[in-house]
Amino acid sequence: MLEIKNLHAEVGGKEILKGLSLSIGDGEVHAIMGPNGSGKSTLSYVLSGREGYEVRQGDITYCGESLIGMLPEERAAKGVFLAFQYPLEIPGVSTMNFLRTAYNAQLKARGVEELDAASFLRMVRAKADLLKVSSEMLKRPLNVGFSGGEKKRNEILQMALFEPRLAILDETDSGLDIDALKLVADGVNALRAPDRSMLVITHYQRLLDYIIPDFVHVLSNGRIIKSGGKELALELERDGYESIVSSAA
Amino acid sequence: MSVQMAPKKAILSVAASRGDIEKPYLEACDRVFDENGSEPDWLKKLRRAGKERFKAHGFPHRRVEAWKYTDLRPRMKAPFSLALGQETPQTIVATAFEGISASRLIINDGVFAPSLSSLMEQSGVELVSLKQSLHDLPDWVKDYLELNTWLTSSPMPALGAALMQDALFMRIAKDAVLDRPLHVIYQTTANAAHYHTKCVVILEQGAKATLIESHVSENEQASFHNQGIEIEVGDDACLDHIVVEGSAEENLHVTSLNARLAQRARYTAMSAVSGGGLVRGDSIITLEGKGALAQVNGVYMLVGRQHCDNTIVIKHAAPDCESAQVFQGVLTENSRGVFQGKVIVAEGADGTDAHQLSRALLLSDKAEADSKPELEIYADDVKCSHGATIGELDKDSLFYLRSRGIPLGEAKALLIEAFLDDVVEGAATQELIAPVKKHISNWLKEHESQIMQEGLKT
Repeated sequence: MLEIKNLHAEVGGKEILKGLSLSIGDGEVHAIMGPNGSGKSTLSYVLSGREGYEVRQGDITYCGESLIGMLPEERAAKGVFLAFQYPLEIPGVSTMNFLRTAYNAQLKARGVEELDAASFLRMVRAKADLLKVSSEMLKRPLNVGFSGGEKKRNEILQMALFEPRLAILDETDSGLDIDALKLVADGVNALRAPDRSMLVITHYQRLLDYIIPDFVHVLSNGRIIKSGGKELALELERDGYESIVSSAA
Repeated sequence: MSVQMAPKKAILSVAASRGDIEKPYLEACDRVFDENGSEPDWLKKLRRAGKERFKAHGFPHRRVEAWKYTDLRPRMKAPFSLALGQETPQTIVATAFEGISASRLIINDGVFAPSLSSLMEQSGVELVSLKQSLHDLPDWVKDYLELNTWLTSSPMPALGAALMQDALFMRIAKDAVLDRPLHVIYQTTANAAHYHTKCVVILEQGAKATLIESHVSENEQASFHNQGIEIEVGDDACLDHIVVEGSAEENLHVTSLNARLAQRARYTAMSAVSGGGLVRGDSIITLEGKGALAQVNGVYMLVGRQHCDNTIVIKHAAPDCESAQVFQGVLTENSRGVFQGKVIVAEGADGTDAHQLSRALLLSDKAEADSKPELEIYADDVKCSHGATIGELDKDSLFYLRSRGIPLGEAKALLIEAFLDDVVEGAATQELIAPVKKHISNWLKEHESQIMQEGLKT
């Protein structure tokens, strides 16, 4: 469902991704691990269409269609979802209002009739309960004054709501203590489905104890230098990035 | 928020000699004097004093410090003629306040129109129109006009005093609490006209009221409204004042407001400007009594070549008073927003707490925002602050919203609305905030193309 071929991308004139190739099948969970500065976050932004992240070479095919040149909102409506490493705080926009605006915008883009306020509210409440997102949180301005754990839970709530075909989780474990991490991981695992693929980006192996991937890839200097099963993550944890990077070189 | 400073513009020299521009207005004064020969002597005197003051100063221009960002003179060259009010005016609906239960007072081209107004039976309110009751004016109105020095203190209210065709006086009795707002609707229907309004609102001790002012228009060629409003808030009295300027984008509108607050008086003002080609709001608010409070907030939303100038002077003349000014605006295309806020703390006004904040969002490279905060402090124990920012919409926030499927235009509107609503919240009761918010969201819906244009700068 996602096919990245020889992707070269730059930010501010500097090449960050240097020939990255990756193939993800339906329902698969792939983890991308790599040291700081290897291009992990850049990959997540290139996939979600952030401005300033320019593709210079290669292609990204998603469900048979090239993502290159597609607006972020169009990608979202087609089922691409990015759970942010640092979710933005947006004062003055209530979380509930934001969720409804986004949800209906996606429906509209797909040519589906918008959901009325009451039905939407019921749906959000049900999904929010599972992630321990209180109705008081939903009334507050989006992410304003939320703890690190609350912000991440809010991201997963959005994922549960938008039901993406491709979910990219960027350093979802950062800033979480073990209890918060378990809660978030449970939320993610509950969303694993045959028609939903996930790309889990992480620096540490810890998250992968809870979200167990089908495949693990090591990203270094803008390219995937090694791929394997979930045991590769343990190997990395034991030997460090250094040994794999030098043996691959 | 990233900060981008506005480009400096070269000062243009004022070429036209003074008398040329003012001449037709002075001639209009003479005609008004001739036509109103039956007016009482004290009113004639007031009109003449107004004319003399205007004649001595002429229209304000950029060499006058308080008008350095807003040049009125070139705009006054248009061949405006004095509107005298229509025989049978029609009502223009002030959409934002539709459905709000209020006493509606309609001033059409400067003349009070009782036939269009719906005066709800409200105890504690006295309402007098100068034109309707000219030969039967109560003493308090006569005294007010006769003893008034502010009316002829500066050129714009002075010109208004000379040329006014009517004036509205409202007095709220001691301890009266109005259950419904007083809603003054200024309608512009005359083409290429100038007209001058006066409104006087007096709250006696302990009174409580809400005053709404809407500006609407249905004219085809630009007209000029020179508005004067005086407000007196007595001891322990409380006035909420809401202004929505939504008239056509060609019209010119200058407001001179003079408010005086007695002991523990509270005055909260909220303005929303989206209409008018040139809108200047000139406010002088004097905290005369101990423990008075003034909160003056405003938002503006501009397109094309609209120019909106909020110039506010707050004088702390007594101890333990509080004042706050918060002005925020969004500027698209070639529009320009000006905020000048001055706080004067007089000797002996200890315990003063005064704050100012001005924030502007520039959505276009050609838009301009100017901000000039000033403090003049002659007392020792004071707490004063001011802040000003000029910036763009936050790109990270925009990307976050778009990554959730919200299209760019909608994402921008959402952020702008949040930015503006922040000022509106807390400015009045929820019932009256809602119409102002509606005015803002309507504007955003109607101006999506301007919001999108030239907007996204990376």
